[in-house]
Amino acid sequence: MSVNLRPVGYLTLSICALSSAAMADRGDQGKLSLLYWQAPTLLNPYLASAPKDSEPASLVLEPLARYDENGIMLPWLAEAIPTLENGGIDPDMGSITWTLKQGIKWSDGSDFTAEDVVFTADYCMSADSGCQMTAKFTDVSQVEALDAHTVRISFAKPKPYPYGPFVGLEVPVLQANQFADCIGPDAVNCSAENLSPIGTGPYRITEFKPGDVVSYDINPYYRDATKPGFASVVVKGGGDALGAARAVLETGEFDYAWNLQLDPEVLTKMKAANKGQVVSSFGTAVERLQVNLTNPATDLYDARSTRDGGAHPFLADPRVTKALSLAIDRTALVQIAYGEAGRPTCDVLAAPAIYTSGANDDCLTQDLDRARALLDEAGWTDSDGDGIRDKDGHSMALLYQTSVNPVRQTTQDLLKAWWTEIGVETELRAIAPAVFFGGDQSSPDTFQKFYADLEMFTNFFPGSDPEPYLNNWTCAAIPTPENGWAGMNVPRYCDADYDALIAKLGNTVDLEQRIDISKELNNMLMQAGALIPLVHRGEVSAHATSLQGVRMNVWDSELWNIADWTRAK
Amino acid sequence: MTDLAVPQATAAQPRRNGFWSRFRRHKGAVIGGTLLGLIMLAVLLGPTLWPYTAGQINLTDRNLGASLSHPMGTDHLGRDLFASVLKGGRVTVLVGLVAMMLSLLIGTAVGVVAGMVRWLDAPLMRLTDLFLALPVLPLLLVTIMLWRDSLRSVFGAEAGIFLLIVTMIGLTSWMQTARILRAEILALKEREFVTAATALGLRPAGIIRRHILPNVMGLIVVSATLGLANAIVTESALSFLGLGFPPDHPTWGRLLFDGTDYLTLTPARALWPGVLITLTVLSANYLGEGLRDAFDPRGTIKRK
Amino acid sequence: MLTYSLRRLAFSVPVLIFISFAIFLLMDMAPNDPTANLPMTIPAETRAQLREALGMDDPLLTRYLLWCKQFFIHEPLHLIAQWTGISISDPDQLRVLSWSSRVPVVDLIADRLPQTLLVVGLSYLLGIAIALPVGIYSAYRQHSWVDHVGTFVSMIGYSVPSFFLGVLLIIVFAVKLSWFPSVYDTTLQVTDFTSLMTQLRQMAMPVTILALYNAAQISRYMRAAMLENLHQDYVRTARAKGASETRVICAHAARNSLLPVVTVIALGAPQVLGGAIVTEQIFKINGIGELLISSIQSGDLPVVQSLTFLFAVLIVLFNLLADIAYGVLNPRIRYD
Repeated sequence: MSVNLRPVGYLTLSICALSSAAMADRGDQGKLSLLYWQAPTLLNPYLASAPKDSEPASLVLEPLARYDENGIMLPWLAEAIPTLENGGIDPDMGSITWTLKQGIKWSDGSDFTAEDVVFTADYCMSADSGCQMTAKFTDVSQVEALDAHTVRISFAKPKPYPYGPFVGLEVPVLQANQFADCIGPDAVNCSAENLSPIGTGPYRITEFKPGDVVSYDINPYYRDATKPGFASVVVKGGGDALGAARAVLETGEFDYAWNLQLDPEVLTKMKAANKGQVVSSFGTAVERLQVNLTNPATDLYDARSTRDGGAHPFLADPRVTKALSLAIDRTALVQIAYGEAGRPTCDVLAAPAIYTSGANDDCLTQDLDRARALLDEAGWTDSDGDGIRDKDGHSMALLYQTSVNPVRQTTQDLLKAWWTEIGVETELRAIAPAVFFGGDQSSPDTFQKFYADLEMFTNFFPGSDPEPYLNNWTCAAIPTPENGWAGMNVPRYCDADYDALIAKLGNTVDLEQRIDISKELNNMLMQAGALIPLVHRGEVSAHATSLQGVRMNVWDSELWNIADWTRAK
Repeated sequence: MTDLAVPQATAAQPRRNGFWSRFRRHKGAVIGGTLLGLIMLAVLLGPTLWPYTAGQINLTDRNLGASLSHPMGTDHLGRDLFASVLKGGRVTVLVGLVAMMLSLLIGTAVGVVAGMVRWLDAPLMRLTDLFLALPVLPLLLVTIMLWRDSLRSVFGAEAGIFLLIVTMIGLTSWMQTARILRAEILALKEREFVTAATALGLRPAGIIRRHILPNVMGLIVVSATLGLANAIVTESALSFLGLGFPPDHPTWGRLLFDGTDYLTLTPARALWPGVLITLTVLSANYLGEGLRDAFDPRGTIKRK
Repeated sequence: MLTYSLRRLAFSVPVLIFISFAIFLLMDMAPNDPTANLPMTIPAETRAQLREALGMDDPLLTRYLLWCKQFFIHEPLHLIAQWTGISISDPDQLRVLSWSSRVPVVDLIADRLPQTLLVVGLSYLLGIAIALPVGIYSAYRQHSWVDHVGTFVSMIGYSVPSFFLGVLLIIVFAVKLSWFPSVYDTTLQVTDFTSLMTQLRQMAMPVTILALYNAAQISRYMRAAMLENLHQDYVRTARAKGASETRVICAHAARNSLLPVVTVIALGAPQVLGGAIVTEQIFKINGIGELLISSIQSGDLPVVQSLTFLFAVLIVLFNLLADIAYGVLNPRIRYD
């Protein structure tokens, strides 16, 4: 279970290596300009957990432990990562005890103590607060301060992976003093506090125009007297990914641009200006097709896309989904649409490496003949000679939907072309993201209602534990009209064996066993044809060539080590 | 009334000759009309004559420049741009013309009625205010949500979305025409020749047809031209908001939008659709002006 | 005219209330969801709690009345408190708050208004200043080369969308020539000559695009109206009376041709405050237009509702101003 916890020395080692490159003094590096084309609107990650908000907040607010660029947990405001070995985790896994670093101060000069940690837990767990991170506090029964620098988090049941609260950029520690009056229903009214939280990080907010720009200067009480290097930071928002890439790679107006999912050839062309470089890093995100195993036919009315409406006329047959998957040339797809930001994958659990099954890799090479043979075998042939396969008077025509996004539309076009070659007709639909990913009950276009045969989006899991992610495909997680179309099991996959194995995973503590079960679960999903994984997606950002110290990180904030950033002379 | 109409009928023959000779003398109109005709002919017949099919992916021919076999080059999936432009032109021109006419029709009707009928003026203008104030994007989202599926089942996927788009563009862009015509008619109504016609007992429909409309024809032509451009551009905005045609149906606006990202790599992808949109609007503008001058001999006679 | 204006103003109150309800209804029906842009890892229960915390589960009428109370009572009270220091109620309570930034909508607008007014407002004035002479001269010398160039440029300006024109300008003037910045800095304070030049440079491209668009449309209407009027009897009469050509054109024909132009200008004026959505996005100006579009996309109902209502007020107001202007320009027009 401690596989991700390398010795603490690792951290000191790497930081020393970096700072030797430029032994800088605090604030002697001038101004740093970052471009987040999706502008931050709120700098309290508990109320705004999207990366566009939580990453700019990470300059100010810090958690007890962070992940580094390799997904390894580092103690941040804590002395060390609690483990079973060092006694930080209770032997029956009922609690975890964090010891906080001494001498850390908030940017207003007051001391950072265990009370702040306890307060933050109360803040998120109190009812009506609108806290978006409640899932991180699942099963937490009590958070208490044992002394000024020790916090114990107790769980209602044994927790094999107790690193939910206060690990990672989405669950930092808030200052109890500042947010004291913002608990519960009052949380929404604390505009000033939410706009300008006081933190322990290297910077403090001087000005924030929501949806436009955040300006920072150095936190005078920051714990390391030689850091941060840059005296001031600006995070500007607005525009689109292409404009952001241009401002770093071509005009050099900005030092860093975040989230650049762009056509690889356009990006290559921009890099030719030699003003900046592109960095990418891979987490757990997989772009996948969700296969509707139930029937989305319009004439079923309320039973549309539910298990009550019956199985899908052809997608419920794993041979058909296998054929659709084999017809895809994932290598070409990655080359054309993703470039450095993607790798072909046939597993929906594609990372971390120890969890990848590899048992489904035969789909990595396109095989149109085998795809055709599979469809023939399933009884779908072109009997009326119109180029489209059919069976019992039913034509093999798909409605394939996704959100509006140039890369996704390119993927749609390619898949449609490949499927035409095996005799499958495809109608494409692109839906505004605010509608597709929204939960509006009356809209027919949400990804959870799934009034289509196939749909495509990316999902991922934070940190390195896939259990909550694999929980997405249990029978209970199927969106239905009864549960208001909530739930992430959009393929409507339901298998008692899968549910049983999930239950077993929840009670397994040994890491090796957890890995084996996770792989088995992934294989069950793949073999049932519930999902067709396409691309293991990375995050792509760009930074000016003169900017040093960037260690691109998908597991935490990309700006996690901003205190170490310097400019080449 | 009847004896007023008689001389008009007898004068019809020479008047039509005059129309054509006047139209032919308007050089811009002739060029504009020819160009517009050529564009319509190309998009109608082109897709059947041109060897490449729009949307045919060819991964070995990606991002090519102009050549004999691909006069406009290819896109990032190796699709022939000329084929896409020809096919996209059908939808673009059709959406542009139909939506523009719908908007013009509503705008003219509301403007003329509000200008002529005093007691209808206030309610119609407040209705205009309402339409001006409604946010267009949520309105479109609601419309798509409510009617896309039923239109799709009645008319099919493409015709359904076409009707929806044309109606929505028409319904959200008539207000300017209405307000402009109303203002002009409020002034015209008080002019001597209209008061004289009223005094002579000419019916309102007759006044509108013979005295009002000819005098606002120039403004209507401008509204039509701008409306055409507006409809073409709005359609492209709809498709990148996910509200327009399915993503594999190219239109000029959409091609231009997609091509903008590739402006440094394959500039032809954006330039050609942009040129064609401008050319179509420009031709329509000159044609409209020519028609207006030809229909309304008064201006031409007085000019001499 | 005064009674007419007062009557119109009084009548516009119920009209505006009706419009505000219509907008609210529309926004409520629209399928945009404020939880749509949250990460996928946020579970459904949390999303449901969030909607509840935002009050989205209350009946439509309750929410509408709450908005009315916040917008028509508490916001003005807050303004009064700010200006005069007299606070009637607790000023922080019950203001209209944005769902995505939890900031009073009025503060957001105050943040965004300066750059929108500067860029969009300036380009609007510039557009009018270009359009009027071009329109008048093109009509006076119909079929001259000035007329043809004017037509050509205005057709390009109107039919080439700003999403293309903006990127083209950025590639030419920001990337290749490095004359202007591609990102607008809203934190820039104009204090001396250097910062003034920086401000002018960052405004150059967006102002050009917007001015071209506005000039295109206004000059077309100006020209068309001018053409109609130049052939009217009263122009011949004025000439026959021996009035100078400049006087005939400017005082007689142009004055009477202004009706459609005034209409177009009045219709466009609320848009100045409404910002220019695409141009603001391309140059990262983040004005009111950007606020509106991002709020629509994130389903931020209080912001969209308040902003569109303010536009509605401006639309009603400017159309009233236009109607008054008709009477001034052409005293024959009577409304009662």
